[in-house]
Amino acid sequence: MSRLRNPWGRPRLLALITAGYILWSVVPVLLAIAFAFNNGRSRTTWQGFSFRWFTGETGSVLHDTALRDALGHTLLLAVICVAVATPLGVALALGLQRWRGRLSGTVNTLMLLPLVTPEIVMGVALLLLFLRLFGGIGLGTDAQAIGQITFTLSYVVVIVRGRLVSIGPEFEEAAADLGAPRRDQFFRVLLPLLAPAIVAAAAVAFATSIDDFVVTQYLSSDASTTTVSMLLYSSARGAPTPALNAIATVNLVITLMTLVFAYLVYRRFAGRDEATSVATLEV
Amino acid sequence: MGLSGSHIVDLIAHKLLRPLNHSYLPNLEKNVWPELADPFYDRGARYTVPYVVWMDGIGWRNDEVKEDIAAMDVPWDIFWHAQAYRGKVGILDDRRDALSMPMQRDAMRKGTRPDLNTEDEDIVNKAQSDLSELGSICNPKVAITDYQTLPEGKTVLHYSWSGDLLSAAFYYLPKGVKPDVLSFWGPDQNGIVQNDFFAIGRTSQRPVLTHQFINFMLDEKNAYDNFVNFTGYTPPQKGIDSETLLKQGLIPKTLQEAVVRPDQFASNQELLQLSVTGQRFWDDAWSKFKAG
Amino acid sequence: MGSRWTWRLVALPGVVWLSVFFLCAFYAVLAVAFGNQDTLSQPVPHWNPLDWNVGYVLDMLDNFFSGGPFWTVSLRTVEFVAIAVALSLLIGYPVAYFTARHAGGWKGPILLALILPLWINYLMRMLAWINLLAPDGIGSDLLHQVGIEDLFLSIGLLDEPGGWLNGQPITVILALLYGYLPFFILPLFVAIDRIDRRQIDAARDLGASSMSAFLRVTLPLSVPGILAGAVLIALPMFGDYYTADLVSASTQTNMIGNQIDEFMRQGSEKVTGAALTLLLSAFLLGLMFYYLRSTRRAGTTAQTT
Repeated sequence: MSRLRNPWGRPRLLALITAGYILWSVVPVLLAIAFAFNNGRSRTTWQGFSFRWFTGETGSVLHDTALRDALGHTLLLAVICVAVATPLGVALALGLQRWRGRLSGTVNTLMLLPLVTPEIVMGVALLLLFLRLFGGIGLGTDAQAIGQITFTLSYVVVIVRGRLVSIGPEFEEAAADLGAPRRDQFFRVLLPLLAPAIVAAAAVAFATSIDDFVVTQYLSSDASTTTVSMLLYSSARGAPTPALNAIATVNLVITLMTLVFAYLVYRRFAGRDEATSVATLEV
Repeated sequence: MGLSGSHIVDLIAHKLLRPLNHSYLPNLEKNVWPELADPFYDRGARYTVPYVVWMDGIGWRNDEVKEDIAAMDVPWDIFWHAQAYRGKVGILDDRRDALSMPMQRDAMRKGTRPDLNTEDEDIVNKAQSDLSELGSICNPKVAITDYQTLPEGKTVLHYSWSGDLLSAAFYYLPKGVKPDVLSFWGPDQNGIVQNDFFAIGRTSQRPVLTHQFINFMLDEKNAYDNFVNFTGYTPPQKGIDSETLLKQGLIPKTLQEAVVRPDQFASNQELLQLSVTGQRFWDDAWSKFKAG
Repeated sequence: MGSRWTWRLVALPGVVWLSVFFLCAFYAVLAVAFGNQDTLSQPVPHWNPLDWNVGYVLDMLDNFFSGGPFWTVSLRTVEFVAIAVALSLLIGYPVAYFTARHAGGWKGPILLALILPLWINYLMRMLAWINLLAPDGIGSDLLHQVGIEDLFLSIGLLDEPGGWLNGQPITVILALLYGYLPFFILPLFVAIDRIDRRQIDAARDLGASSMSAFLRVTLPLSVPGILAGAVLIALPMFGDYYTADLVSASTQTNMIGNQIDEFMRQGSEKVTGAALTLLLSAFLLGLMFYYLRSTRRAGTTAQTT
């Protein structure tokens, strides 16, 4: 069974390419994070270690109002997004999974469409919607939240559906055989089994919301609706200070912590392979 | 809020601005250039009060660009001969300002006075094709970050707003770079001058306070403060001119041209609002230019 | 298992949401594209299809089909995306293959390194990379050392040494590659990982060399994964505008996304912007449904094994 592989052949080259790719992929970000701790104003020359861009008196994430507000607004949108998209998505996933009938295919496609639509198309569509049809809501925080929820919904559904499929109907059927009323089957059997997926989906929704750019930018109204992504984009063209690196790092840490938490929860309750498949976002 | 002349007519027509009460604005007559206290676009300054003024011209790094641009017959030509600076040239990301530039160049060559508010489709299209030539000549970036890219050397030649050069000199110089590497040239006539102004929205909740704020900003000391410490754009104050700034060591001689003079206002043109059809020509030309 | 309607009712809120904020949003694009403009240059949508004004859309199509700027930009976009996707395959396939087949004990950490970029803010990644490409940056130096800079200079892909950020199309393509590669590699890895090793072993048992087994078993079996991955990154790339904007601000590298963005957020003709969006969507519709169908099929196959 063991394949005697020529150690000097393809694997060497492949390993090299893989290593090269990983370095290319990760090193620039590591450097960017490192310079967030730079003592001077440069983003390319190291001038010593310092926390000034995080907590310093002026120009830091903590004290500069523009930065702090952007971070706050980003988190606000993320929380709203999770709060609405998660229950909506779980319900949609359950309903879709158990829907027998001709419309289910159409609804399924509808649900998957936001995932394959290019962001600018969604941005333009939502912009026009809130400018011309729902002018009462208009642009701003509400619109941004609604826009984010709309495509995050699809991620939630896909993740929860995956778990539903692997759970299968056996548990509920067993409970039914044992005489449990349907409400109990749902709340005391299905939901607990589904819980890790719900947590994972919520975390994915959170992370997706935090890093969203196009839709959020298109639906913003004024400076108070700026998020970290928008800040990164607008400041980048000029000569930003390492404060930009700092806020990006904070953003990154929050995202990663959320995802690690979700991964661990999922793994604890659902097994490693499933957790990995969720992490790789298999649609 | 601060706006510029291209939109004022619309805003007044759609009744979005509140008329000003001049009794709250003594500084208007006291400090502001008389030319601007009663502008043609808003007679009697009924709705607006000038905030800052600026000119469209050429900004460059005199340590990188060998040509003496100010001494050229038609300084605008430098852009069409900027092959040596390929990739480091900039054009303002603003359709009216940018498309006016080839128009000014053409007019300067012929010795005529251009109409920078033209609605003649042919003229606009010619300007666009001239501008598009720059793509292969020097591949310009289309951006408004000249106040940073010039001091940093990322661009060395830029079609700029005068205030950007002053901001660059005041706050965006990297360590070791002196302000006198920056130069600016603006046309004395047939060019573009613009001003931003203050206006009060119709739905303003605290009109009296807003008036007082405007008056505050028109006070010479505050306007100066705002100019030097915050924006880099010159306010049209009688007491602020290039000689004074030079003497105070605030600006180098190379940037003297970047401070707009009252007489330049009369001989240059303001960019005004166009009709819907006229605007469309400019929009189409701009999107053509942007498509490369 | 309960009435049919229970589950449909459960799904209803989600369906309503998507209908209102997704379908209606698209209808808004149609209504605006087939609408008009008022004197303040704001779009006036025509909601009733009987009222539709084809003027602006026809103008846009005329511009497109007669070789106007919309055609130039679209062609350029297709070029950029095609090259970027081809390069993704060139770099991504070996990485995915290696991770699936030869990683051994390293599989976990490598997978982690592959997953990580997916969750880092796209803009942060792009800015980090751009920072290195500056004339005095490490990336620029490295490219010089490794000889890539000279190579590109000689074939005219680069205008001058260190001038990566001076409006070069090659930089935009490389940036697209940098941005979207992670999204290509991961699904491809999953697809290759899923290939039943027994089929490869069988080929080897029947006397095939490892190269032959690869070409005749692994590669064909991974083609659906390749196609799916390619489409998965092509779709957002076609609508990308921020990458070209960040990396080069030149008109010579503007993509269709930039044009749409110009009309919608910077300019005063949202009607044309909406029309262009329709054009883009129509073009991509085929790709979108292809992807949906292929993943649905893959999903059902997974369920039966």
